[in-house]
Amino acid sequence: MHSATDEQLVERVQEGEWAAFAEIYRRYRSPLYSFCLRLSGRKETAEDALQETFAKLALRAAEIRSRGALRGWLYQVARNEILMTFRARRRTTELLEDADGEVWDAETPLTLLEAKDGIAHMERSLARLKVEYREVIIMREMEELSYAEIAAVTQSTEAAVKSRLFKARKALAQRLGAH
Amino acid sequence: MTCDDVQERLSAFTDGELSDTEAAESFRHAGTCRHCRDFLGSLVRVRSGVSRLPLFHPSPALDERIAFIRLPEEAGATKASARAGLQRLWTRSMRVPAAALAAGVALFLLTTALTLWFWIVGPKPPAQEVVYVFGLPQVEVVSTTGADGESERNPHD
Repeated sequence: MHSATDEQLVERVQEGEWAAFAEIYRRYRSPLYSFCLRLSGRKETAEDALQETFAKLALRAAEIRSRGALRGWLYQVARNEILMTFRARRRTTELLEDADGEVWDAETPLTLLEAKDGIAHMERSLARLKVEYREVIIMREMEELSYAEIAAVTQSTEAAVKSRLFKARKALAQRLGAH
Repeated sequence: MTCDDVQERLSAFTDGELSDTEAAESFRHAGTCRHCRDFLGSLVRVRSGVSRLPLFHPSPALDERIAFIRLPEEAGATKASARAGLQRLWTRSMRVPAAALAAGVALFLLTTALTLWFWIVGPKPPAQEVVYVFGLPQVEVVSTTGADGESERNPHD
């Protein structure tokens, strides 16, 4: 059965079709939730961010006009929601400052998971990356967003994305190689 | 070009985000640098490891919360639909009484117009008066008012 494209679904949402909205949710709920959870490290924060993202989609679907823009728009809104919770916790400065090139963040709830196998070890290592490194590597490796898309989501440049991805991968390689 | 520069380029190369010229330069360097070749190997392992991480799924409670979200256009469409429904109901319920009402009004106007016409233009009945004269047999006097307002009188007067 032919499934509608993102563009078609967005058009139908703009016309007020709830079924199209539900289809977008079904399509993106798990990838977006995984992104939010890995970014925030907290289930409640991730779910609240996802709910806010879809509430905004319902209200502001008309903003999504360019072809293929839905995915980037969803990630951008979800990311902003997560960062807002960070700001609320007065942690933004700590998380976003990278004066001495530090890639690793403090321990988060996810890092406290028992590392019983390679995947858990990778999860733990990823969770310890600072958020600006973690977000680019998740968007690139798991969601296969292009540098341009990631730059749009993170409101930075493609050069910055390229640099952060490299640092994140190198840090992970060193950490994983050490175990 | 330092090893860090080359490794950053190799990282971009694995994403397909490097020009052919830059890629050729980087691989020329890696061909002679074991450190950068090792990095390329670990880069592939890291990328493979991250991409195999599982998806997490939100709770059914979140699905329920999402189900309560309403689209503005949908709300507008519901109101328009409700309005259209009410209009259809109104039209359907008013169709026969409206015709009857129109016929009744027309009949009333016609009757009123005819009555007025007969009252103003139509023939009037002759004015009658009864004159009682004691001692004489009752005589009925019929008089027609003329144009000068004088009446014909009984010859007995």
